[in-house]
Amino acid sequence: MTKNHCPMCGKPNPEDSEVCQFCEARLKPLVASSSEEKDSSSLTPEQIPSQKDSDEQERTLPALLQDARNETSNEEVSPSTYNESAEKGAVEDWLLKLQDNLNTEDDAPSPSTEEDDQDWLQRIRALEAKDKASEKSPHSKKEDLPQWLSEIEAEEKEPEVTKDSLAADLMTKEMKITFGENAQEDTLGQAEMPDWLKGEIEDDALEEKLPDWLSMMNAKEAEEKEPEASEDSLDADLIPKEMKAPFREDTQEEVLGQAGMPDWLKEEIKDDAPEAEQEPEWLPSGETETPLEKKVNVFSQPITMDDEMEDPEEDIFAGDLPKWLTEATSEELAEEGLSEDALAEIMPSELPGWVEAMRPVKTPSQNDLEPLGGEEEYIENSGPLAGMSNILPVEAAINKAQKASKHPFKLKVTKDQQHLIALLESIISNEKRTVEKQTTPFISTQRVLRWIVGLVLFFSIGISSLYKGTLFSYPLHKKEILSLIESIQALPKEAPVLIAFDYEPALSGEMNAITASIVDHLMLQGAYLTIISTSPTGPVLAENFLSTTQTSHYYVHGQQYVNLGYIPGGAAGLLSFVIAPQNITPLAFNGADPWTMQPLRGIESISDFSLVLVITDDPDNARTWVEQVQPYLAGTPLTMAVSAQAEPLVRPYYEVTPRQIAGLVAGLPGGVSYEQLTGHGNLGQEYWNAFNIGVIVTLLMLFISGIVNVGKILVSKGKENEKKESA
Amino acid sequence: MKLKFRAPLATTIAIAVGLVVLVGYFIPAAQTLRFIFLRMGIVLAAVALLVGVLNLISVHFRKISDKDSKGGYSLVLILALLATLGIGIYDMFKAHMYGNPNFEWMNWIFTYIQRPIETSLMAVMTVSLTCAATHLLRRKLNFLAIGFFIILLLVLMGTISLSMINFPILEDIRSWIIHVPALGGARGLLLGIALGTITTGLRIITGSDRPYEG
Repeated sequence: MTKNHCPMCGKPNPEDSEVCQFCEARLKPLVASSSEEKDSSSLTPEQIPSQKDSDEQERTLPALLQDARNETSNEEVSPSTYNESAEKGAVEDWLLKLQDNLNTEDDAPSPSTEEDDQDWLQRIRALEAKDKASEKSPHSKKEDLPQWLSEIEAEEKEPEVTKDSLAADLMTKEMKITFGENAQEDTLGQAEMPDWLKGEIEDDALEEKLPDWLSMMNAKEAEEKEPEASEDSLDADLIPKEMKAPFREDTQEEVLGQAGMPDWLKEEIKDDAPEAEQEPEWLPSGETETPLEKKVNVFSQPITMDDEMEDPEEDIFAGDLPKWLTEATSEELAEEGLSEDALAEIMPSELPGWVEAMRPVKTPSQNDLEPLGGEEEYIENSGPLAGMSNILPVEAAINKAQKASKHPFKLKVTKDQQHLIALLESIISNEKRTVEKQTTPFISTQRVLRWIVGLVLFFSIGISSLYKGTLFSYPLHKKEILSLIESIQALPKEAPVLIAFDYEPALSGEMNAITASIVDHLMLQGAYLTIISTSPTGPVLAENFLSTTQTSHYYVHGQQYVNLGYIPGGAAGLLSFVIAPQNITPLAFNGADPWTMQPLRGIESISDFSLVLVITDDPDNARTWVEQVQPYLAGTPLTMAVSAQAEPLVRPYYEVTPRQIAGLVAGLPGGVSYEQLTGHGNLGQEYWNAFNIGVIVTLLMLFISGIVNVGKILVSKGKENEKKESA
Repeated sequence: MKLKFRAPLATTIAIAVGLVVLVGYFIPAAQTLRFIFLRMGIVLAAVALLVGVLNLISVHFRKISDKDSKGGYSLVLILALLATLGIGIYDMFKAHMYGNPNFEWMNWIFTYIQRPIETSLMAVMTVSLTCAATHLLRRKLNFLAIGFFIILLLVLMGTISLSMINFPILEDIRSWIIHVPALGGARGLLLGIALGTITTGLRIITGSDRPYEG
């Protein structure tokens, strides 16, 4: 019973089975007719390709198909020309020209053995052979030439020799391989090429002898093919080195011929090329190498792979095949159920000759993949790329410590900066100097003057304060004082009046003298007083004021007056108090609820007060009250009692239409005037004599000092003028 | 890592509060919110005063511990502060207990310590200003110095009123100086202050000026 072996796994299967029992691969192809015919020519996976003689088959082809084959053969050569064209792009033009000359010279005398050439081509070849023969006899021509011309010719030949040597020296290994490959291809074309390929080479050689119209047609065809070749060359440039290696290996195998070929391939070549080994007629007997081969060997000598090619079998199979394949034995096959008969039944299929010629017979070895530059292959040993080869050593580049480049340090300093530097240096140098302390005399003129001024003021004011009589007339009445008096007199009995104590204790002497008569007037009117302050010391000042100046009225807290205490926040606090006084000051100064007391009954907003009196020594406080409170008063008069220093900034609020403040009392003269108008003397009149004495003494001192100073200045200037005149 | 949330947060709060308070002047519906912010401002100002007192105490405590500095004054200051605080609390407690806010001890401190000290400082300042005025023409004798000196004399002469020597013209001169040049200058100052206040408010609302170190 015959068994059908699986083409995939090779295991036997029943003949009628369509699918492999082991790997489920299809045993019978879907298109059976064509496959059955090609079974004999198909190639099994384990079969080593062998080159077959296809010359006889090709001779049987019709001429039209052979022409097409020739065209395709030109394209088949393209893999080798890929590298060639790509390398040509890198080689100097003179080198390529030299190579072309070599090719044309070597291609020309190659004999053609094809029988189906056209007659006219044979005639042309015969004529060409005659011409070449005449050209190949240089000795006869050299003898005819004069000596000077032969010397010139010899000089012209010398550069060619140097070009060759230079080419051998300058070309890189890769270039040499390519260049040697081209030359050896030509050599093999004579000796070992298939017939159909030889015909192609002969056609190329004969193109030079073709008539013009035919050469023009060929030129057009060549132009049409050039773009394809250029694209291929571009692709060859873009192909990485690892992908280029198999191509180079193939071409090297072709170049090296039998040296790198396995035995089976050598036998095939020997069988296929008996005619090629025949020496040409023009080659002198005894010479084993043609002149062209000698030149080619010059380029092929530097190839370093010759050592590896001494043993081609080892070179082909050593280390390239997987281990499981090399260790496979018949016993293992038997274990898998494959007998020797079964193995014998697996007939290796045959490939066409031209396919076998193109098939790579050797996988690239590790040595072939080495960089041509001879550098050792770097294998990454750390990082995410550990174990990978042919990569750039990143860590080495990073860890490579380098010294920082030294840049010239030139300080750019402008003239202004230099001036500042010099100034700073001088300051620093002066700091080191010890300055002798100037001893001031215990009794200096300035200190004496201060003591004199102080004592004069003290005694003059003190003595005048002891006098209770009237030394000075009272000041004139002013309209702003009259306005305030009218406002207070207009108050009904028990009218709620808001008084703000916003002054400092330092000015309490002046402010108490100004305010005493006004508050006294209010108490005489029977007004309920509500005291508030935006200064922390204000509530205590108010209590002190009432306890020292208004003891005669017997006002009691919670009954006739209420001290609401201190409102923090400045202008914001004052505005909040104006909007909602009960919320801002829920407790009185003593902690009781003020809004249930008699003075504040019926008070919901600030406009419910009958009068607002602001006592301040600070113009800013006066301005805050005018700006924040006055718009919410709604007809309630806002009056002020200010110190003399605040009068200039408060008066504009009165000297305006409509008036923002209803009445104003400023300074001690204002207080004295108010006392005089109300008829109730108070602190103002007590201070009035001392105040006037103090002002008069001050005026005298200023007047005397002014005269003395002006006199000194005039005297000094007079002396200077006299000195100038005398000089 | 120190996150700098302070600057943008403070700026945002300042701008928002400023806008709300400003809008409250024109829109009655926003007056309630404005009033809330104002009350919060009052509380913050009171707390700031307390923080200032605590800072004053801490600074002078450091001065006392420092041997190089004159810590005796700092010790007196702290003792005086604590004594005044204790007396004030006692007076407040007594006022709440008996309902009579006479603040006897606080009045005594104010009447016999604080006011005489501050008044004396004012008297010393009067002597110093008088001495300075006597030196007014000593260094420079130019038009501005002479003019300032003459105006000073006229205003002081207009203040006094001698019964035996009555010069009505001096009172008129003083009145003219106060009502014309002094009043004009004061109005100019007030206008400048108002414009400066508006500008400062707008700068704070727009975030251009951040006096709160934002």
